[in-house]
Amino acid sequence: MNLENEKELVEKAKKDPQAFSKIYDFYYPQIFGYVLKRVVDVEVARDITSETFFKCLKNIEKFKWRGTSFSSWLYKIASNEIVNFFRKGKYKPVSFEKISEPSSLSNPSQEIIEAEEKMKKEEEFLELHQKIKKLPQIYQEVIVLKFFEKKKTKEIAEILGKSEGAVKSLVHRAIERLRKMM
Amino acid sequence: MKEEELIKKLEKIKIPEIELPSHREGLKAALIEWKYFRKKGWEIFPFFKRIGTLAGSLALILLIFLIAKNFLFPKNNLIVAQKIALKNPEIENLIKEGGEIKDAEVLNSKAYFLIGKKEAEKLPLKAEGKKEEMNLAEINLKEKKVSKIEKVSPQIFPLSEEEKKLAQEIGRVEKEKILKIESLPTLEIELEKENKELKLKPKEKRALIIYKEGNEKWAKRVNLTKGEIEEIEFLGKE
Repeated sequence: MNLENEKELVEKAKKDPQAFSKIYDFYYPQIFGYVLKRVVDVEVARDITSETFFKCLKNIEKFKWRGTSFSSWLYKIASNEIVNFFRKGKYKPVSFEKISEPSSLSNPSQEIIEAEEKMKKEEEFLELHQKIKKLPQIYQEVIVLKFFEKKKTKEIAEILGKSEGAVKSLVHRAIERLRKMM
Repeated sequence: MKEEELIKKLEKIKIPEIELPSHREGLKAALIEWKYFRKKGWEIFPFFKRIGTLAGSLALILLIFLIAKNFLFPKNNLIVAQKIALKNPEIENLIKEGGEIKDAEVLNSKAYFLIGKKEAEKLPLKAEGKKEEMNLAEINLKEKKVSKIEKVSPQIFPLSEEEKKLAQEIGRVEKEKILKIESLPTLEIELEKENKELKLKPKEKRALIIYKEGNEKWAKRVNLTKGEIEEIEFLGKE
């Protein structure tokens, strides 16, 4: 999706649910993938992704193109939900309770079980994640965004609300901490 | 492991590619239905006119209202509590003097409002003169009255060893130069329910590093949540 098309679609999505669904189709794999790499729990990632898109849809009318791309805004919502999860030690989506969920969302299903089995086989990633999750939250965020999400420094700065210099410094310190743990 | 090796490992590691197609489609349907339902909400009343009997219409409206009040909008309690609170002269005064509700929680038929000043809650490195504080109001929802208002002083949340280490890294102060690392009192707090109790938690955690550079003493305030240095102050020569 190029920037101009996205701008047009986001403006339409403020009033048109069908336009929103196009944005959703584009960003769902990215957001779910990002959340999963951070929490490494398929059910929690599912719930956080649900809450992220709910908050996105709820607040999309307030979104303005002012120095932050739509992608960064969406990642920021997801990051905040992840922080809530780690802070409280469990995840209980609040906003999404207002919507009646189809049964596939609320019951552990074959899909979840298969996804969890697949996750268990990613041994190298899981081993690395065991070390990453011991880092402070801010370091975990920059490592996942830079190396797993392949985000550029500018994008990470937008997502985290920091300067590019601060992001470079955080990445450097995060790597240093992780290196000492390896 | 060398830094370059770690970076290479991070760049080349196989990332899990896991999908949940049913969730993806189900969530989309639920979101669109919610958005569409909200848009269609105002059309419910003309629909009732076409039902036929007035009694049937009123009964249906009442049923929807009760479902919405009790199951869909639990935050209605906060709206009721806010109305009660704003009628209380002491709370009204706090708001008039530049206060606002910073956070709110409902627990065991009581609502709690944390009221503080509108301007930044960050305290200066040197706490001089004026004593900042917030207020915690408890509203009894059953009795529909403000049961108590307590002062909340700046809170100190102890730092773990891990947090002290993080502070040192963010502050970029060599370990040998550090005299002490301590938690800073803060009013950037929020309410949180934990094990059916109400607790105060910091929104952002900060640390103060006191260190020496030669014969000079310095203080650095670092934000552990954002990972940045906020303030540096010269404390004097030894």
